[in-house]
Amino acid sequence: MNKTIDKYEATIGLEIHVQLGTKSKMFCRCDNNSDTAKPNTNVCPVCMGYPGTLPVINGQTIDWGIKTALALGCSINPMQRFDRKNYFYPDLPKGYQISQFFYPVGEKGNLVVDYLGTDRKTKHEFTVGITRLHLEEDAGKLVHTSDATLVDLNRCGTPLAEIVTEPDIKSPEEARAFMQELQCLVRLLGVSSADMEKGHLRVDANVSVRPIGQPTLGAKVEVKNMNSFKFMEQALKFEIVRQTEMLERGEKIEQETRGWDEKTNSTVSQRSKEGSVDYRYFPEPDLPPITINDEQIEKWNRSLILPSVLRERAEQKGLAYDRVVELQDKDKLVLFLGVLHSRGGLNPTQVANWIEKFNDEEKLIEFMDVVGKHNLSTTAAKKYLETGKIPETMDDAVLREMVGQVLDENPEVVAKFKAGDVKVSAYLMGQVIKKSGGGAEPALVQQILIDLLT
Amino acid sequence: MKTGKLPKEQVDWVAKLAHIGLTGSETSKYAEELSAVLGYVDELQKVDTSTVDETMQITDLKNVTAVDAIGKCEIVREEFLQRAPTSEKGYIKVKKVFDRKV
Repeated sequence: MNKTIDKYEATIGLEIHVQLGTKSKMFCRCDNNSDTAKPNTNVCPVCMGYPGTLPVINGQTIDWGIKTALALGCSINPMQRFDRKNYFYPDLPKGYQISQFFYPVGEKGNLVVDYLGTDRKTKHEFTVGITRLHLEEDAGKLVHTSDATLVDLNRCGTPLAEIVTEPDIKSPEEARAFMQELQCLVRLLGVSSADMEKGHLRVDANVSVRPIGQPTLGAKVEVKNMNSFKFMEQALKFEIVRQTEMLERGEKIEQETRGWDEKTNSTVSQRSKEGSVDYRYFPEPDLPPITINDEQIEKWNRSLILPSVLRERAEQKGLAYDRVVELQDKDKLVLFLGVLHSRGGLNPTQVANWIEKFNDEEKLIEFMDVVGKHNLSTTAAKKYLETGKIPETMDDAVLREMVGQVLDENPEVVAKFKAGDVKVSAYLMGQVIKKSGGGAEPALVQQILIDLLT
Repeated sequence: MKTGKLPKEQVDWVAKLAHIGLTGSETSKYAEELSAVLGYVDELQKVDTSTVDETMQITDLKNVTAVDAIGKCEIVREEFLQRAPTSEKGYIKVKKVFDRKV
């Protein structure tokens, strides 16, 4: 099988929807947070598409759209304008979705993604071209029952940023790394909670497979319904194997849409729309255009914080890449950099070791200072963290006596050591430290142990 | 657009996009009527627009935005649902969109 796979290569492009976390919706002032709202409670005549109502753009959505597009390296269109995408479906009471077709927020960007390999050590890097980022409103939610379709319009008019990538992604691992980077990025920008399980971050993938060396791409299959990073990776793996096996058997791959089915762990063909779609896009006459000037773009550009920049800074401070990624995953990277920035001379690895227990820069610095000043062992530092008291450090004579006691209490272990099983000294050392209440310095204990035993 | 009768295929296509099922005689009827409407709008072609800039809007407004804040809606769910053809458990109820059981 591996040999077969080596003859083919996969090409993946992604289409992502990021739900913007504004307070109000995109074109009306309804509450934008409907995660736990009852159906049709966050609606008004505008988002319900009543005749005679007029939309007004939520300025925050334009700001955030531009910020995100800049973070993805896109060039920004100096004129922001909206278009109507027409289609008839019960989730869309107006009969059209307000979107950006002719002039997206930004175009032609790219994102350099670095990620930790499965060995948890190696740093991999690749670049994904960003075709475009545009803003649009979400549609409502449909619930299908046996005899009817039920419509909840709470989500109607929720702002979305749609991001389309070039087919630059080569594997499910890269697709996952890209999505995680994007999630990290929009969270850091503060534009979305990007929670995949809640549907705040949604992804569809275009997957094709071709024999290596073939200049044109294979037939494109769209994969939908991937509601978590795990499902996305599984769905893409499945789809690549499916297409590879079909090519091996000499079969033709149909261009179609398939959905991930988590029950069967496979992608399933979804009935394709009959005939080609025709959205009859035209400019939205109800929304005046918005002009963006260079100074604004410059200002946004200066205020950008990117996850890759934070990671690079942390590495420059001397933290190993795998630890940097670990801190990022635990959402501690900003705190880490803050601490090292405010207090020089701290050991970055030690700060990383303790950071999980803290949310506050000052408290972590104070703690690191105490640990440093009193030269506390890990056990002692833990004790200090729990009790807020610095454990008494033992002087040499007291410690010597304590070690002697432990040796007296554990004659079998001592015998083992003397018979050549030196590993057991770790047990003895643990006993001494326990007896000392965490106050004993491990290096010193070890020295005394060796003194007394040999 | 050239004035003249809209081809039957065009009417069928528009009907399909609007999810409206038309019988053969209805298609012919709407071909006539839609052609008349388009012909009427076609009158605009007579106006000389050679000195007018192309535009997508007539208000000349730009940069109109609202502050991101939640506003109160004066209409409550019950009123919205009363206006819908039917409702169930707070949802608007419509004909099922899938033919097959889901």
